[in-house]
Amino acid sequence: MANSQAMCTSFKQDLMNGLHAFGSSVIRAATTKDTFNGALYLASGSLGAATTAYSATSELAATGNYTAGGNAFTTATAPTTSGTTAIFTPSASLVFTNLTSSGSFDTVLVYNNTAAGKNAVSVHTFGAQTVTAGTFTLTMPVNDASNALIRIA
Amino acid sequence: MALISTKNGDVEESLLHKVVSVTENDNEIITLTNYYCDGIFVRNDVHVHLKKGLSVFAEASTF
Repeated sequence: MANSQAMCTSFKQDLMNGLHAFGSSVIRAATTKDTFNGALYLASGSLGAATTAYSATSELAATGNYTAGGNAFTTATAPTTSGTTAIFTPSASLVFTNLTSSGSFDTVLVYNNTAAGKNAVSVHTFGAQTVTAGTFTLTMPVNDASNALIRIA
Repeated sequence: MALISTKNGDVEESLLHKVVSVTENDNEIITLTNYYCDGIFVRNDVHVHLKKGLSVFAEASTF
């Protein structure tokens, strides 16, 4: 057995659970998990890697049963590891019922709705859609090292 | 008989004509269901199944 240089797999999982702060952090009010939301954005938007927080700019209008800020993800399954990859995927689909979208949308922003700054997590795009008086369902990928919604490899 | 909510109010399911289309690419599977009543579009459902999320690669530096 020899020593081997590596990023510790447990560290990757710990990052997802907020256990490290190499820079100034925030005072957390509790040890409980945060709430994460999925907000829908118009295809005309410009979200991407530079997105730092939730914003109503380019979001679907709060009409037709869409609520500004989107809906909360179900997060019954905590971050875990698969091999040397830390993974997290919401445990249920994100569902918007009786929705009439204010325009064509192609993006969901995952963000921390507990954090005061509504910090962004990830931006996921798909083929542009419009919904009229119907249900929009966003089903999550398989929660494994190759497909999980959020992976630190 | 089940009632389906449409932009014209609740309509008996038997009165609706349903057209389902599925498209797939490397990123997602999209199932689009359009509902028509007397030939007029009254509702659609969209189901997007994301196939793959996003990855961050963490690497320990050498000295």
